[in-house]
Amino acid sequence: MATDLSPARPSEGLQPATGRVAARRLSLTSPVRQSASALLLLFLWHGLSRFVFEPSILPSPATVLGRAVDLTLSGDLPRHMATSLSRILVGYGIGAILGIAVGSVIGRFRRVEELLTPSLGFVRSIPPIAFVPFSIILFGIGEASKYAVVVYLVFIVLTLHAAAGVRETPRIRIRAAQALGASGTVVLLKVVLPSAVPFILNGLRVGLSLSFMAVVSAELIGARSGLGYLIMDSQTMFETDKMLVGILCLGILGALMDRGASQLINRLLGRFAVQTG
Amino acid sequence: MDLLDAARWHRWLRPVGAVLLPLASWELASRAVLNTALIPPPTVVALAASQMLQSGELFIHIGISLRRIFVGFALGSAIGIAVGMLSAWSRLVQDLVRPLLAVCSAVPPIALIPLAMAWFGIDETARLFLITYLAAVLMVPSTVSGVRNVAAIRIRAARSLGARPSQIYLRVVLPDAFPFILTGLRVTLGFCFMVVVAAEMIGANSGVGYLIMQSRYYAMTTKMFVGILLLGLMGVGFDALFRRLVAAGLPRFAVEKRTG
Repeated sequence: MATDLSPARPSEGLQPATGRVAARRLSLTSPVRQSASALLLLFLWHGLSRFVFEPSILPSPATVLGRAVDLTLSGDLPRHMATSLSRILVGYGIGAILGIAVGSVIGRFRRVEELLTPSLGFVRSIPPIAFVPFSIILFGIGEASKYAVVVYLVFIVLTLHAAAGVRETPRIRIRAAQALGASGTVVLLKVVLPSAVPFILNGLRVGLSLSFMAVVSAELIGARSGLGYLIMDSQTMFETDKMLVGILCLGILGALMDRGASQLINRLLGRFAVQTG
Repeated sequence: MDLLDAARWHRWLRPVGAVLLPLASWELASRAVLNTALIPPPTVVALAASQMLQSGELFIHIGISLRRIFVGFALGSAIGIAVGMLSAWSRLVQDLVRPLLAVCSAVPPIALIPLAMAWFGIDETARLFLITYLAAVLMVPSTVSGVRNVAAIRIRAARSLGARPSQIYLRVVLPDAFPFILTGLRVTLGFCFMVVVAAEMIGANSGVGYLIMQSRYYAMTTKMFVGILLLGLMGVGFDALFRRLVAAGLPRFAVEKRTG
């Protein structure tokens, strides 16, 4: 993802599911067996923390759970979570709007796009965390520097995706609309933008998971709140249980957001596939 | 006329413009509008880069980062591919691996850097562990989906021709899964690159990430920009190298060329 410069066609991720023997083999796994193995995993963790490692290196699952309850009751964990979430959502919203707008314009003008895409792609291949110190120098250690990193990243991703979507509008559709007497604005609003929607939706999904990562890295390096800060803070104090609470919370939050966004996007994608197909 | 114009555009106007135009506007913006101390113009950055190249400082950092990436990447993807193959082959392995993998792939790898530092201290083991772990976690799903994607008819054909299971695996399944594995490797390399930089920024005293972080303390934005741009070059370079390798060594499995 980090070095993938060209936005993929949304259909590339989909694979036909018919006639595959191996696929059927894999989907046969029962939920019972999987929960059994999840339990086994927990026992293994417990055993390792009990008999092999010191609790300061690997605290037991019960300790971590207890710490999570404590942190929730004291309000620390919800506060850090809310901070991280608001950073993600604000930065993501601003970046997405800017990116879609700029990308749509760029995609319309072929030569502008050809001039700008290489540098955008270059910038995109720089790991976002590298901009965190720079952002802190520019915007200080407060919220602005975190927003800036997320906005920047989401902006680049969506510009590239929106431009690709607009560029890939099937020419025959534009010509058909023109032949039927549609004006330039009508073509843009009714033909070009709807055709770009699947690309933009795909970009929105990629951007969400990247903005999650960007916020965490910004909080690890320079912040006084947020889940990333919680993790980094526990490292300096050697509170491994608190650190694991933070890490697992990030995992749960990330998985929930990713799943929610994917479902929403798939629903929208389905609708647009019907409409534009 | 139009044809000639288009040819000229594609041959040199476009590539030159795509490099010069952004650089020129950056230079202009930095000198005329913004603060050169905060956003140094590209000429100043280039000068600093050439000085750092001459003193050898840059090479040391690049070399260290590259070694970290490649050792961890090689080790981790070997583990990941093996586990992926096993779990596509045996349901027991798959059931064991799946919940663990679900947890691992949900957690952003960057968040694990402090944990690795708590476990292994600030030395090389922490970074090596992190990259190996990441590559392994990323390679399992792409290997599994590669094996899943093998056409049933080919397995049946091989079986009806009397192939043994090991033969089917080596001659049918593996070659069919290979493009998926290659794509997975490319994505994994990108992630490894990102996480190495993050790990170097958070806890290390060498490498390109460290270079950026160190410049922050002294507010030397020029040096920081050298580091940031270097990362961009390395990222683009990796990707190009990977594509070249695939195209040269394995024409059968070459990554599909995208237009545009």
